Amino acid sequence: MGRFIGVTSITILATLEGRRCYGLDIIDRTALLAGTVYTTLRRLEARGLVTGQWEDAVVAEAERRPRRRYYVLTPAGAEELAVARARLAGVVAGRAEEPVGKPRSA
Amino acid sequence: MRDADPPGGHGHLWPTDGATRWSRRVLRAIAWLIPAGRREACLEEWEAELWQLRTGDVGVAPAAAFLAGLTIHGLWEWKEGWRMESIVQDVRFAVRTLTRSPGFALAATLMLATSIGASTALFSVLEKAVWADPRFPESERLVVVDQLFGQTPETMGPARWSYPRFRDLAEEVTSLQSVGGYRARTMTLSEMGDPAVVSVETITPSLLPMLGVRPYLGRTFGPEEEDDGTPAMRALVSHGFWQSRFGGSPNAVSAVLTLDGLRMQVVGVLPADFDGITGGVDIWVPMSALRIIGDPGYLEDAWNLHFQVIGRLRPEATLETLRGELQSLAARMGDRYPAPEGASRLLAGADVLSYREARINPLARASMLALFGAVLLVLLMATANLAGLVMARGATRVREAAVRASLGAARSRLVRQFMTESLILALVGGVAGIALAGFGVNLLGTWLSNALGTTGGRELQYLNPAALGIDWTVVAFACILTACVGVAFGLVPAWQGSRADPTTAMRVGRTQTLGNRWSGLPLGRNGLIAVQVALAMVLLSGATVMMNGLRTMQEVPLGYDRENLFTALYTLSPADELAGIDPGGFHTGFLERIRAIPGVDHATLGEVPMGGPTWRNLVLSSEGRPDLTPATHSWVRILPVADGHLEALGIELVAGRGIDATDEVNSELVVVLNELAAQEYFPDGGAIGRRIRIAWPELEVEGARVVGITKDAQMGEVGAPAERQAYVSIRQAPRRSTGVMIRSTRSTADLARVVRGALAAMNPNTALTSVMSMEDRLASVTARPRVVTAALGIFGSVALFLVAAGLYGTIAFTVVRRTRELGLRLSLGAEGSTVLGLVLRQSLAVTLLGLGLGVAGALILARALEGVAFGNEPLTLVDLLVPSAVLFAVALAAAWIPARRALSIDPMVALRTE
Repeated sequence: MGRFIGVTSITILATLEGRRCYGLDIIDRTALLAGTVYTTLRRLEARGLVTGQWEDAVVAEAERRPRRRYYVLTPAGAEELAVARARLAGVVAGRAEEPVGKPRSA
Repeated sequence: MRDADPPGGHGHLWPTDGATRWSRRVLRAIAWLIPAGRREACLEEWEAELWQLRTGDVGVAPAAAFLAGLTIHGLWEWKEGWRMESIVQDVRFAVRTLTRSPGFALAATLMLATSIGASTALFSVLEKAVWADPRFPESERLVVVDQLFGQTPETMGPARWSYPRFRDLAEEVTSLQSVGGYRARTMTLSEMGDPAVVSVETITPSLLPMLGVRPYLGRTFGPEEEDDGTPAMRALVSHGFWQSRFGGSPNAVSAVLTLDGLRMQVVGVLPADFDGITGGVDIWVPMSALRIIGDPGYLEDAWNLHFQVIGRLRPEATLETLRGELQSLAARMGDRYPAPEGASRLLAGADVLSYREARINPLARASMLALFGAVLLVLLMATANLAGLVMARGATRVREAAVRASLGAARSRLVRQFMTESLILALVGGVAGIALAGFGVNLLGTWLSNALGTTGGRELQYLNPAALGIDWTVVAFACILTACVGVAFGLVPAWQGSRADPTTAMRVGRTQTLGNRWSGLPLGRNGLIAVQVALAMVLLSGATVMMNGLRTMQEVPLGYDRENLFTALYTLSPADELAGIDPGGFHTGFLERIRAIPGVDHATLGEVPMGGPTWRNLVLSSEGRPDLTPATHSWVRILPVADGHLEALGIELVAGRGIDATDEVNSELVVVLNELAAQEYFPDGGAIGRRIRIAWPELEVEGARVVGITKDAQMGEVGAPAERQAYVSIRQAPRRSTGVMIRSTRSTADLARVVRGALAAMNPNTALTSVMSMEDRLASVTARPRVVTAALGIFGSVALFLVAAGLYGTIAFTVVRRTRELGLRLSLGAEGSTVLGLVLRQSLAVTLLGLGLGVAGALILARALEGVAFGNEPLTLVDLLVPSAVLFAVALAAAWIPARRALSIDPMVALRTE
C-alpha cells in the first residue's frame, strides 16, 4: 500500500496481537473513541491488515447474547506491526528519517 | 467482505427500559448511513456491542458515547460511499439524460440563470449599501449626532452644528472617542481652461482619522489645519481627481488649485475607494478655510448651524450613555449661547443615530428590500416551476427508475442520480447567474444610486456605484442560493423516483403513471402551480400599488407650469465679491442678457423648484398678528426673485402684484406672500399694504410691506406639505447663489450653451450648474418609485410567464397521461365540450386556489409597501381585480391549448397505445 500507518492504527494492531477482540473490547483496551476505532478498523480491513470473523452462533446462544464480530491480525498486519515497531523504536532513539504516520512517497 | 450470513434466531433478550429502546432506534438510524451492501452486518455487529453495554452495569453514558462515536463513523462511511467512481458515473449519466432533452435543459438553465443572477446582483447592492459600509473600519461604532431644536417637544427636529458647539461636543462628551464635522458644497475650479464646478467637502481635520481613511499620497489634514483664527488654505484631492487633473503625477502633492478664486495647496491624495461622506467628492478643504470661503463669522457664531457631525463611540460606550451625555451638553449649551432675537424659547436637545441606520434613507432601504423580496419570490417561482417540470419528467421516468431498481440499484443511488441531475442544472444556472450578476451589478448600482438619491438632510452617501462588485461574500451567497435551489427542486423528484416500486411500475403502461387521476403526483404539481399563481398575484398587485402611487404623485398640483422650463444654478465666489462685484447688480445685468436671447419668452432668477438654493428663516412680527411673539414665531421659506418671476413660472397671483422692476435697491422693501403665509400672518385678511418682519438681514429691522399674495407653489419635493413662502426682490436682498429659469421652446442643450456664453461674458470664473429642464427635474424625483414600479412590473410579468408555462406543462401532461381515458370517453359518445370542461376544470380550480392565496399575500405586501409607494393609498378592490383577471385569462389560455389537443384524440389511436 506504500503508506506508513498512524499511531491509532499501530495501537489497534498491537491490541490485536496474539488475541482476537470485538469492537467494544478494543475500545476498552485502547481508550480510543468508538468513532475512531470503527473507522480505523474499516481502513485496516480494507488494507488487509485485520480481518473480521463472526463468532460461532452456538457459543453466543450458549451465553444467551448476540454473536460478536471478532477482529484478528492477518499475516500482513503482523508484518506491518513489526515494521511500525522498528520505526517507532527508531523515532524514540532519534534515528527517524521521517515522522511516524506521514505518507511515504513510494 | 467475508461476512457469513447472520444466523436466524437469537437466544438473547434485550433489556426493556426506555434508554435501551431509544439506543436501538438511534443505532438503526445511524445504520442508514452505511452503504446498503454492508448495512445489515454492521447493524448486527453494533447491536451485539450495544447489548453488552446495556446489560452490563455501566449506566447510560457509555452507550451514549458509543452512539456518538458510531454517528461520526457512519458519516465517514457515508462520505466514503460518495467518493467512489459512482459520482463520475452519476454525472456522466445526468449529462447524457439532460442533453437528450435540450429544450428542458435550456429552459431550466435560463430560468435559473436570470433569477439567480438578479438575486445575486441585488444582494451585492444590499450587502454594500444597506448592511455594511465596507469603507470604514468598525463602522458599527460610528454614530451621527444631531442637535434638536423646536418650540415644543413634539416639534423638535434635527439641526446642524455650529463650530463653537462642535468644539464643546468634542471636548465635553466622553462617550465619543472622536468627532468630525463635514459639509458638502460646490466650488468653482478656475485655473486651466473653462471654469469647472467641483464637489467639495469642508471637513474638520479630525474627520478622516476618525473614519479610518488613510492618505494614498502625502498626508491628510492634521493639527496645522485646526482652526486658530486664520484660514488654512490647503486641500486634499480624490484619487479620481488626481488621475484626471494631475495624470496621477506624484507632483500633485504641493501643487496649487484655484478654488472660487482662492489659491489652495494640495497636501494629499485620498484612496480610490473613498469619495467622501456625501459621495462624488473631488476636493476636501479644512473647515478653517470657511473663514474666507464662507460668510464672515461662520466659525464664531454659535447660531450659524451649517455642518453635520459624525462621531466614533468609545468601545465601552453605548448609544444610551452617549444620549444622556448629549442631553446634559444641550442644556449647558442652552445657557452658554443666548439665543438670537426671536429664538429665545427654542427647546434644545440632541440625538444620536447609528451611522448604518442614518446612512440609508428609510425609503430607499424599504424600496431595495421590497425589490430583493420580489426577486426572491421570482426565484422561488422558478424553483417551483422547475420542480414541476422535473416531476413531470420524473413521472414518465418512474418506469426507468423501476427498471434500475429491479436491476439492483440501491434506493440511495437512485436518489443520488436524480439529485445529481438537479444539481448539475442548478450549477450551470448558478454559474451563468453569477456571470449575469457581474454584468448587471454596476448597471444596477448606477441606476439605483441615481434613482434613490442621498439621505436628504444628512447628506450621507449610501451607495457608491464604484464600490459595487462581485466579491467572495456575493459569490458565497450565489453558491448557497444555487445549492438550495438545486436541492429544493431535486429533492421532490428524487424522493418520488426512489419510491418506485418495481412491480407496480413495470405493470402499468407507457402513458400511465402511478396514482389515480387527481391524487398522487398531479396533486404535487397542482399545488406548485397554485403557489405560483399566488406569487404572481402578489407581485402584480405590488406593481399596481406602486403605479397608483406614481399616478397620484404626477397628479399633485405643483402651482407652477412645468413645461418648456429651462433651469440652472450659478454661484458667485467670495473672491468675486472681494473683487468688488455686487451680487445684486450682477444678477440684474445677467438677467438682461438672457432676456435678450432670441426665443426666450420669459426669464427670471430665484429658487429653482427642487433645485435650490433654499433659505428659510423666522418671521419675527407681523402687523396682522399682534399676538405673534418670538415664542410663537414660525418658519417661512424666503425666495429672493427677479421681476416677472410669477409670470415666468406661471404662478397664479391672488391679489396685489408680484415683485417687479420698480423694487430697486433704494425703493421701499417689499414682500409677496403665498396664501398659506398670508393666512398665517394676517388671519383677518387685508395683508396688502401692511408690514412683516423676517429674520433676514435686510428685512429684520424695518420689515417689508406686503404688496401681493400668490397661490402656493411647490418648491420642495413633490408631495411635501405646503410651506409658507415669502418672495423678496433679488435686488433688495441679494445672495451670491441663485437659480435661472427660462420659459422657451428651445432645447435645453441649446439654451445651456447660450446662457453659459452670457455668464462667461460677465464673469469667466462663474460656472452654470445643475442644468436641467423642469420636466427632467421632476422625473429625477419620481425616479425611485418608478424604479420600484418598473422592477415589480418586470418581475410580475416574468411571474405571469412562469405561471403560463407551468400551467401549460401541467395540463399538457395530464392530457397525455389520460389519453386513453379521454379517448375512451370520446369513443363512447362524450361531447367535445364535456371533455374540454373536464380538462379545463383542473386548471381553473388550481388558478382559483392560487388567486385566493395571492389576494392574502397582496394585502400583506400592500402593508409592506406603505412608505415606499407615494400617497399610501389603500389597496382597492379594483387593484386586486385587475391582476386577478389578467392572471385568470393567462391561466385559461395556457390550459386551453393542451385541452384542445384532448379533443383531437383519435379513440382508435388512444386505445391502441397499449
